[in-house]
Amino acid sequence: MIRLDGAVIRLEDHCPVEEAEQLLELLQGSDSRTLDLSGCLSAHTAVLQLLLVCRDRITARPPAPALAIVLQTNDAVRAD
Amino acid sequence: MNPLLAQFLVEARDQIAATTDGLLGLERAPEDAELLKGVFRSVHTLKGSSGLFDFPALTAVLHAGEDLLVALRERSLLLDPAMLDQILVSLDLVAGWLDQIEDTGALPAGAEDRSAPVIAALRGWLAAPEAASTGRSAARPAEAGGAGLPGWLAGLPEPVLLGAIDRAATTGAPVLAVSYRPEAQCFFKGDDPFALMLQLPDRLHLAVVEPDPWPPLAEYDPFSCVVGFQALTSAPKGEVQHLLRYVAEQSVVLELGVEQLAGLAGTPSARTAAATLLERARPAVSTTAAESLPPPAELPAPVARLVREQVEMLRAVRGGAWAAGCIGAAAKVAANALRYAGRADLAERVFRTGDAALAAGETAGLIDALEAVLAPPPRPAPPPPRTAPAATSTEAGHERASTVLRVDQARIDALMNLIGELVVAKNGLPFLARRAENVYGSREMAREIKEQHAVIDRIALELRTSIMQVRMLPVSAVFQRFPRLVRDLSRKLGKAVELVIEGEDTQADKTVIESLFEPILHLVRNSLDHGIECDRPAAGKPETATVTLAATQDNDQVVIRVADDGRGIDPAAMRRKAVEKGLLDEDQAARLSDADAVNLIFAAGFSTAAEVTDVSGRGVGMDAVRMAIEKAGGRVEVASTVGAGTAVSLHLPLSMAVTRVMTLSVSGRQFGIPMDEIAETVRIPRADVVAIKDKEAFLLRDRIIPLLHLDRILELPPKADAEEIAVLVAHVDKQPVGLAIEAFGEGMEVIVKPLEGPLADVTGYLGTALLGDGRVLLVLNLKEITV
Repeated sequence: MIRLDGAVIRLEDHCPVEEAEQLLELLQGSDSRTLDLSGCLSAHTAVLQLLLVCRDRITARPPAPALAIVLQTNDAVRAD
Repeated sequence: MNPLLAQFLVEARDQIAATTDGLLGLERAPEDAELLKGVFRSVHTLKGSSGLFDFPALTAVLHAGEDLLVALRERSLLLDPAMLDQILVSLDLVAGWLDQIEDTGALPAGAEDRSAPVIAALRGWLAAPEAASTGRSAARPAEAGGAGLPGWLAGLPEPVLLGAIDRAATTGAPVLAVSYRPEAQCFFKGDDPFALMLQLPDRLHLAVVEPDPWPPLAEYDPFSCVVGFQALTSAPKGEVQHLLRYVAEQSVVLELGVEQLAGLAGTPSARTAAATLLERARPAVSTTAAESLPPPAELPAPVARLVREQVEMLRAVRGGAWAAGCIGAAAKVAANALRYAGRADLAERVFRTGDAALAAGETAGLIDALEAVLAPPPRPAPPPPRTAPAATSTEAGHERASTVLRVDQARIDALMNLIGELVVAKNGLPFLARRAENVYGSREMAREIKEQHAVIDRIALELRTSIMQVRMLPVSAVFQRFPRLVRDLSRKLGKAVELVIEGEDTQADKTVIESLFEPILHLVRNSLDHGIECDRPAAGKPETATVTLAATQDNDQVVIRVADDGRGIDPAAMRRKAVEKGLLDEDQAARLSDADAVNLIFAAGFSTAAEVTDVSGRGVGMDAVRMAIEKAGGRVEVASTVGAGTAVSLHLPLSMAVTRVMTLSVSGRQFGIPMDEIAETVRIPRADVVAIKDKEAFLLRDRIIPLLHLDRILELPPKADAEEIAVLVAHVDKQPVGLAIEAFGEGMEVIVKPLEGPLADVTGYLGTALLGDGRVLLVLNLKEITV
């Protein structure tokens, strides 16, 4: 589930393909919105792609190890 | 029929209709990616659900169609009209089969034979450009790296590579390198490549291959898959191939022996580490357990997998602020999992190591500890419960229940009949009230019954309105068939025609909507065939003609307008033709106004087209339109300007289920007349009736109106002459007619049932209706009795 909480886009539980469009709109809506994945258990590839595009906006990483790994890189990491 | 199949048939027809719409839209706007996606989705869904049943020929045709659409989506093919013809033909074939399946539950014999040429034709489009795009397909094997190893393996992070070497060395089995490049539109096929990769058993490494550069967010297409995946796993090859069986063409699986892996080590330090691992592994193959911590009992598979995932995550950590979080999380998850497995001793140790690693900001210690927990290293791995994630995702999908019901029409009809009976039963209450008063002399009782009647009346009315709403359909239900039809016709006739549809949201009763198709079809055919000129530029008109199909609501009527900008109808030609055909004599024809002359087109046996084409009929067309519409309780009008076009309007009642009738009595018998035909009721003195030859007429507001005696027409015993005559003025074919009757009754709403069986041929009646007191009311058809 994806919801906007102030300037924070929160991804929670499972984020299916249908939510990719919503996420895109939220991300396009404002450059200052950040991504909080602390409640995200899984993400469809379509959602994952968007997270990759905007990975420097991620402020809280997901609890699922596999998701956390593919999202993190050397150059684009922010403090928790 | 089994309910699943019934559901499939309903949905399949919807999908075919949606596909046809989409395809026709695409022909006008070939660049519309949304339309193409929609079409693809419909065909894909249809093919998918057809697979549930044993209709191989049907599924095969759809599959071929889907493949063609894929090529269109990828833009390796361009849509052209002939290709569209082909796809439409295959849809027609499928639609025909659906009807067969509905009737017999199976495909007709010889379906395979019929599908073969259709499939071949569809595939034919695919085969042609394939040859042209060999450059593209040639790129693939190169990526797979025929001789050497794929390039990406050399770029593996060092810890990952060493881990893989370790694993290969200790198990003695090769490690598999999986690269998976999903096709761009895979989301529409229901694929989730990332989830698929996560299901890869005994995964040692997973990385995402990202496009370089990413498209800007503003132009980003969320439904196109642009990423690829690379993974290492120590699972058996068969298992991996089974997992990837549906995407086999998009993935490459390579077996890497331990030496090959070691050869990938790029830096000197990595080479040394790899060599050490190899050395260590050789004796270890037999004595693996010896070097690990106190020989642990085997961990349950899910726990082992969790711990292994933590190791994998830690290996991938490349320092930075995330490292601390990862170490903490990994230690906690692993410890919890071990505690769950009843290994509190191991959990405690992992937890402490985790703390230490956190303090040092180093992952290595924790990795070692977790590896130790995992030893003995996985044997032909207990595969993770692969069905679990699938199950949860479908459950999540079910949460969103549809709020739309598909109901069999028979059930609505049954409900409608019951409401009809309720209305009839309700109409019995006023009779009861009268009896209470007249027979039993209780005014109070009569009043109470009337009060109750008013309440029930209101509820029945609301009930009826509600069920009417249920039966309401938008006219788009009929209109949507026309774009295809017009397209086919215009191609056949070689005339460029654009169909404009307006007001398709206008609603009317289902029976009304269904009665519309044939008449509109006749009108549209006529417009295309006769209305639209063959050489339009010569007439100073744009090459492309316009045919408009418009629906509007006018009070309790729905008006359908079929208009073209063709040559129009020439009233002079109509008069001449009518005389030639012997429908009118010259005098009559000359007296006709232009508008009336144009309306001659609806007269029986009238066709002005010099030649009969196979598109429109043989002069029964317009006549048939008028009959069909009048049968449905409507009327037809035509307006035409020579050289500028013709517009035919069909006026139909919004709902046919309930008719308002007025009752009247003739010679002591009751009859009904539809209220909408009645203009007014008057009483005229007998003296005002004048005889014109053997006909009678009377004067009403300076207008002579013919007077007919209903008792004579119906051959009933004549009534006694009275001073005044009750006359009902009705409009028959727009002409006022006076009907002399005995007495006016009351207006009421009834359900008129057509005469059936042996009575079906009796003329003069629209049908019968049941009255509140159980009597049968005959409803007159004024058009038939006044001729």
